[in-house]
Amino acid sequence: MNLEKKKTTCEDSESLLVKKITGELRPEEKQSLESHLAQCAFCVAQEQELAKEWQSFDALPAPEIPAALYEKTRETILGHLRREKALFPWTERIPMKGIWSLLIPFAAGLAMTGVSYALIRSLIDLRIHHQHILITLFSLWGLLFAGGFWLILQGKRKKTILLDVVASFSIAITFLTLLISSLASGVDALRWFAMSATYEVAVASSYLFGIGNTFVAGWGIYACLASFIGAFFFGVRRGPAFSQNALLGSFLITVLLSPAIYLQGSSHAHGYGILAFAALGSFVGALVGVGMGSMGSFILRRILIPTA
Amino acid sequence: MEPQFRISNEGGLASSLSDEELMKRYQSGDEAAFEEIYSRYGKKIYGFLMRRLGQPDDCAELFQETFLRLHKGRALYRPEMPFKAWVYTIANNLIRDRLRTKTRLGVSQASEEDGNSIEIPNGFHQMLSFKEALAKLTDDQREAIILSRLQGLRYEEVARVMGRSTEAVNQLIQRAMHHLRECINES
Repeated sequence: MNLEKKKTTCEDSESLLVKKITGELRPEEKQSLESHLAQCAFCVAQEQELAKEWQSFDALPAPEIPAALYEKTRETILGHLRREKALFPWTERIPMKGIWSLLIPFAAGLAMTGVSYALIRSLIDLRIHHQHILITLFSLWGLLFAGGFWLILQGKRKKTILLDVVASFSIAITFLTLLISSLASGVDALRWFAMSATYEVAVASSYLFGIGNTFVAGWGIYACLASFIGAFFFGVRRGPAFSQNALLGSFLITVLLSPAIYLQGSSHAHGYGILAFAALGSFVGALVGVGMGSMGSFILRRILIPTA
Repeated sequence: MEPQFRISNEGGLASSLSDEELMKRYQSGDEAAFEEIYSRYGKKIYGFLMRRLGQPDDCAELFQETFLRLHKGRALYRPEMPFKAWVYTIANNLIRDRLRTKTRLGVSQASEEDGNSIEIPNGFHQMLSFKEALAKLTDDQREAIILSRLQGLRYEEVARVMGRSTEAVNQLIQRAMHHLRECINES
């Protein structure tokens, strides 16, 4: 009986002995081990043998890194760092902490809006060419979104200047489309603000597919927009709840577009039909946002940066 | 002879900072912070790669890849995570990928480790071959013992790198030591 008890205790102590030599023994474990060692010569011998083996590892030679490899890798990384700085040398002088990180891209976007609007208006008659301008702006928007998403996947985050530049351009394009929509449609101030998004959808779809396919275009554009925003939110707000962030982003864009969807639905010749389709498009977009968020998470964690 | 590496760190300020603080600086583009991190971990990571892979060509490639990934992914680093575990995880994932590829291509891991990377230590003269004994360990056991004993990581850090619990790490090390002892006794 005693032998059985002792054997069990010795088995337990083997694990504790390993913890002891690795310096991982907790105080309560230390007490338990010491009381066992005080009455077990076998385990005392085991400890000495284990400690000796453990010490023997000290004799292993440490592999030496070739100096050329060390220097080459160092220079490569420093080269990357310097190129990043050289790309936007003025960024280091801009305070990009706290509220500034939000305000600066926004202010830059507004400034770009003013300059671009003045330029476009002086060169083109917007009442005639507004369709072409809006289509161009939409294309640019799409490219910016794709670029932003790519940057996120490359590991850049909110405070990276490239993403701020993307944000500034997106803000500028958003306001430009609002201004041009307003001028072209001639609706009153409050209404054009709410209507602009769906107006753009209608313009784009009539230009690309004809009126009959307004619903399809609306679906597609809402889905793309919501999914991008979802993925974007996921990317910049990395944390344990990626999918929730993606869903939040998509949900926000759906809510923001709701007045536009409603007004378009109630004022458009198609009546509430377009409202239902647009709402459904937003919902599908939200789901796509979650899907893309998850996919982005997978790519980010397992392929591009496995440890992230 | 110890290679002479160039390290500049703005009057030694960087050297007084923790790894995590250095990473925060490195994230904002501070070259001195990178240099300090590199001087702290460059040799260690290379040593880890050599002990795990044994092939200088593979190690050189993965060494560069580890620091490139560290650089590209630095914006994703959160100070809540111990830096040491993070950088070792990058290297360890690369090693695992490489070993998996070699296994798929039919290159025997044991034959890789029969190379010249691990020399017989003085304390193991009675063993037929210390390299062979290490090669006989399972990959997990070898990984755990190298990280803990040779790279000096705490159990918690080893557990993070390996994606295991600290208790599992202790068991792996215990089995590895048991196995090595058996080899000594047999020889």
